[in-house]
Amino acid sequence: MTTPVLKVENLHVDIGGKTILKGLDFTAIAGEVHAIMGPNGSGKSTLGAVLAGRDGYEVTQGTVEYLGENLLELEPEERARAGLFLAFQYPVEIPGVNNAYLLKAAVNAKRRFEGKDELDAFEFLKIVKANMAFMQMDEAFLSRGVNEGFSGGEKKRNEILQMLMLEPRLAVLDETDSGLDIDALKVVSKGVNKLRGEDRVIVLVTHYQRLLDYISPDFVHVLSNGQIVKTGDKNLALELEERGYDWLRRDIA
Amino acid sequence: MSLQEAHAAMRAREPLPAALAARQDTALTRFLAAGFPSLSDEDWRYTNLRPFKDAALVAANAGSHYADSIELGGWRIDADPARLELPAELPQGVTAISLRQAIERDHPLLARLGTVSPGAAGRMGDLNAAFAGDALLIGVADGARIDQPLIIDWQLSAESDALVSPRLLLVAGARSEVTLVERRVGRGSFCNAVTEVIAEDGAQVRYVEVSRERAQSHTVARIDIDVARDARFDAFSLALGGTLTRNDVHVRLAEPGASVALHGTFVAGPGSHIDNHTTIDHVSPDTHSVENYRGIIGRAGHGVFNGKVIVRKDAQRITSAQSNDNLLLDDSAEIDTKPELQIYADDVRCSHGATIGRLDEQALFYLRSRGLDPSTAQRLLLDAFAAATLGALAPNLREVLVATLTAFLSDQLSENLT
Repeated sequence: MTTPVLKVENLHVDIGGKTILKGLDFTAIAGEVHAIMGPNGSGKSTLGAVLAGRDGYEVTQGTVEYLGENLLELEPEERARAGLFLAFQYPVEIPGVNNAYLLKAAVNAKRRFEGKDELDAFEFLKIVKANMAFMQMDEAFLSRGVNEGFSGGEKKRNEILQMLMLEPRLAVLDETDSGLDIDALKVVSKGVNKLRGEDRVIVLVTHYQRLLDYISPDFVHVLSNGQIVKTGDKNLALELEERGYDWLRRDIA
Repeated sequence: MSLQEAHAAMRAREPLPAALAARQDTALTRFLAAGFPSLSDEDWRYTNLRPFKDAALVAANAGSHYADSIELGGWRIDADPARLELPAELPQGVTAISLRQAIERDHPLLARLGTVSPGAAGRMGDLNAAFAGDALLIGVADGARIDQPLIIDWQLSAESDALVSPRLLLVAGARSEVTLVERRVGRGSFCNAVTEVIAEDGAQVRYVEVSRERAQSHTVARIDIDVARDARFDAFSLALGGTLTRNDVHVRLAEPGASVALHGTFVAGPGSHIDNHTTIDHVSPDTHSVENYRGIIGRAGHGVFNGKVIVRKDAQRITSAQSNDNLLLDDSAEIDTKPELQIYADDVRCSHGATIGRLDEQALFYLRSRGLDPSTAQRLLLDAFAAATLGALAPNLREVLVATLTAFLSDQLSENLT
């Protein structure tokens, strides 16, 4: 049997004493695209943050395995080098840290971990320029500060650019579609579809169905009150669009 | 050895021309009467020089040379504060002469020395004059545009009891443009530097000061600047480490249209104390100032920023913006930041602000989530914070300064800045 890329079992997570995830179960095999949908406050962003290793999220029960290993023991940078990528809902602006520098440092950190030679400046530029053209980004973004003064859509494109450069095994996109106009949504989707492949897992965390018009998921899960309450195929997303979330809400007192 | 004895020993070692000897003696008498500033002087509340009262200082002999990993293109003067030897070749429009030569030839620059805020350089100015065996006088001709920077690399003694007294005067003639760089690497001595700058009508002066200190170095550096009609003075200062550093900057916006921008970055590593005292004096109407100092304070480090802005009576239509941003990297790090605005006119737009914070946790996490280890992420954020004051520099200069800065930060981080 194939080892799942991601296996989450009975995951309970507290933030500041408040329980947000209450027994989440979820398994993804290589090649699959999963959409996790749910109303606001259902714990969607918490899932992304816990997978990426953000401070302040306390796992009180359950396990998360990444390629058969305990993911929760790894530092955020170790997870990244091992092939996990989180596209942030609100990418941070970091004035003065050069965008190209970060991209190159990130790619080479991963390559070192994999025992590969680092990319030199020439090879790096060749790859990054090709990916930027694909993402319809101006090369001027390379010399700017990370996300500094970027519009909402530019920040999301930049996240997907990083993802294309890093070629993760597991990509978690946290509400990447929020705040995007239709053109940006198409470009971002194009980037995600490019990455889609046999050995990868893509997890789309989203509130709305419209992203799924462009990226067709293999599975759709509904997250409500910290648990997955329903799993289906892409038609479930359409149904949610039609009927909203209320019919699925499960109150756990 | 007392200062008097040190002075006598210096004189015995090398007799001076009468005029220079007299200049030293007058200053020594004044200094001995007044002594080192103490904490009870308002301007010296945070920096205590009194311990030097009993220190056995000796006048320094020639010191070691400034070295940096990246060569900075320009006209370089490798300057021994005690006895200057000037390069044969300097750009057209630039005159550089040592004080000794100037006295010998009764050079016109001599009359300008000590004329910027005369006497205001205070006790430490007197101490400098008492021990300065020489001084560097630079004139830039009216209308001359000097493309390459003039770089003064001061040689500082490595002897821990050495008193080093660099002295510099720059007179930038009307409508001239010049960039002057002063660099010092302290290796344990006590450096007491005085610089004067005169920017005549319409002159554009860029001034860069780098002081890169090893532990056990003490530096007191004073610079006075007179900015004339429509002239502009832009300063970029890097104060990196050292046991004790005190930078005094006094700008006089003397005539309408004069403007100044002061940019400073200071890094107080473990156990170091860096005190920036700046005064911008809007003497005339229609004068403008901008000031941004950024401090990084590490474990057991202490930073001080005091930004005095004076707007004189009848000096109308003034703009002045001051900011001081600080990062404290450890609970034991300390910063004292104080704006000091004295405004005696009505039509004035002045702003000031100070921030004190820690490294942005969100940014750190973002960088780590891309595979960067925490120390690299931290270093990137520190570099970015610190280098922000250098944005307006010409690219070649900026590159060298950023390299100096990042090398220092990286050294300090490996020595546990946090």
